[in-house]
Amino acid sequence: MNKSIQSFHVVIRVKNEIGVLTRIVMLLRKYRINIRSLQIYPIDRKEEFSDMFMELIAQRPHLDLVIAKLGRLIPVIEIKQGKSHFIEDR
Amino acid sequence: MGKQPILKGSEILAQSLIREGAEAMFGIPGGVVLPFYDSLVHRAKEMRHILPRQEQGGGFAADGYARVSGKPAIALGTSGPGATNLLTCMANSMLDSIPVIYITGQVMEELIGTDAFQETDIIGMSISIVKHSYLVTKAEDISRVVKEAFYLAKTGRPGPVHIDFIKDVWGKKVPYIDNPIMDLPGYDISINKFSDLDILSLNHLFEKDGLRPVIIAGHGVELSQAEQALIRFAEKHHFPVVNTLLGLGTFPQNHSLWCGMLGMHGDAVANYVVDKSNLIIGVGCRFDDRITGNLKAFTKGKTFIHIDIDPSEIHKNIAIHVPLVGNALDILDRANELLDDHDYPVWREEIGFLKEKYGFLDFTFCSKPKQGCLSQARLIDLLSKETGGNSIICSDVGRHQMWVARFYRFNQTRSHISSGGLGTMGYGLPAAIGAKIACPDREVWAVCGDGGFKMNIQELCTLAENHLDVNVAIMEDKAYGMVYQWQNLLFEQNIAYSRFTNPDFIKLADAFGIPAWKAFTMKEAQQAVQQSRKTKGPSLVVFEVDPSENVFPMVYPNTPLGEQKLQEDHL
Repeated sequence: MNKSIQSFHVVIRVKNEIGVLTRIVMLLRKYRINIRSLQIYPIDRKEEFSDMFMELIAQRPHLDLVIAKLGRLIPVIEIKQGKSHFIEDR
Repeated sequence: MGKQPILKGSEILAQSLIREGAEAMFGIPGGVVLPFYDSLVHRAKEMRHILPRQEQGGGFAADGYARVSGKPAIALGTSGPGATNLLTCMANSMLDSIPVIYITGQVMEELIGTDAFQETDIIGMSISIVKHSYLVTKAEDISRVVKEAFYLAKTGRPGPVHIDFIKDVWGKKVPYIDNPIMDLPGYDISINKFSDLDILSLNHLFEKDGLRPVIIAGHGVELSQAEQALIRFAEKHHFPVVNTLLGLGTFPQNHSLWCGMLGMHGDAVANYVVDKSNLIIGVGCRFDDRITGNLKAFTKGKTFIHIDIDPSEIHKNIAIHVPLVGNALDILDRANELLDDHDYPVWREEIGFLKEKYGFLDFTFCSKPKQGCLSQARLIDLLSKETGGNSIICSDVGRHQMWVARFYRFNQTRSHISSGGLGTMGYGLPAAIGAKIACPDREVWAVCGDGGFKMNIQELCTLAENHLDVNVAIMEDKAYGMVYQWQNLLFEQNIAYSRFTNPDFIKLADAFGIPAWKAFTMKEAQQAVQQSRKTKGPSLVVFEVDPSENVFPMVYPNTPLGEQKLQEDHL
């Protein structure tokens, strides 16, 4: 099992409603995943949906589980994983 | 489209709950929800309201109601302490996938964030312990939110949904929409992600030489009503079946393929069968630490097939070789159609030997009680025989819970009601209240330890007031029994704050107008059980039990299942 600490880029498409960021951040906190950077902006004219671009610091197995758990949050529409790179070997 | 009636927000909530099929609500009125109660009281014929004596009692009663009926139940508390009292119930329902709608009141919008009287950020607190939550600030949203809440609670993997209503919504008059359009673009309703090819691939796996398969049947079997499909599946391949704590009752316990309950305090046979197996088929179970023991030993040399409706459960605790994501009933039905028959005679013979050696329902692994004290294991066996295994048993949490699981022979599904995931003491009595309201024609027992019973003792008042025919059994050992056992076995008998005194439970029951008996011998115990069963309305039996009677077998924390300790001194 790869225990390397890595940086991961994810894009989370969400229904734009009050508290959606809290739901996501609380889940990441539960699995002790740190957010290195975060950018959010609406993707449609009515601003019903937003994309969250996140760079996360995590171990690979943790991230896979968290992606699956994020998918269960009701306001989360879609999750895409982008590039990752090695940070630190433990 | 017909004319939409103009209703107050409070009336819309009552109407929406009734529309969604809510039959019972367990709630306590208070400040910010008073306008809702003003409307609710006029709908008493359509939805029964039960007044618990503390919100936690109401939450557990709703949870018990939902487990027995399979339908979403409602628990309500006002803002502030009323709401925070429900938090443990939410976590309890979440961990065991129980569909409960938790309703709380919130202060007026202009007061939010001012630290107003009885203001708490209850949505902030509940986010991680519910399937979903809503803060409703507009009366126009009530009908849709209630529809969505019920839909979310009961579909997919069931779970609790929390709705927090600010006070402003109650008085506002808006058009009531009877069939609102749900707005859940992120909720994936296509739960079945498996294909016929996935299932057909199992044929190859099942035909391997030297295969020692076993099914671990969990709560998901009950939730998806897959009991009959599971029996057909097990019989088709001659797979032995073990149950998790919450899976008990989903497979007939007199069936030749049944091997008991596995886990920390499971049956010796079940733990040995799982330990010796090399193919595990988990159906609606989470592979949590209480059933796996040491994870490395549990997974060593084994192939895993995991059937679960929740994709985030796959690979969560162990690496799965064949994941089958979907409704257990659909998957098992399809597997029964597509797969060949199989048999493993050598494995069957080995299991037969284990059953003969370790057996079920015998007291070999139970210590003998001290003079003048009763054995809890024998009492549960007595209760099982007296009731014919047909009662709903709502156990609290502790050693008695494990003996209920091992010595009560459940004949029906949705009969073993227990706080499995959260392990919440104080659950048994209020859950029994909810169970009786859900199934008034079935016999209901609350089996509690004296520690857990006192944690929601106030619900005796609810029981008496509603004259519910619930039998309460208290195992009185004047100890937090499981803690006491662990301190004895794992902390070198350093007994730290796990012994206590009790009130006179007989006098206490009398104060509530509840008939009660106390038993010191098995003969008295049998008579007390029989008298309790004959009593119409609530009754209570106190059994004087031995605190030194330990639950065995026991798999010590982080120990392999195969190294379970069978009794005080190894056989």
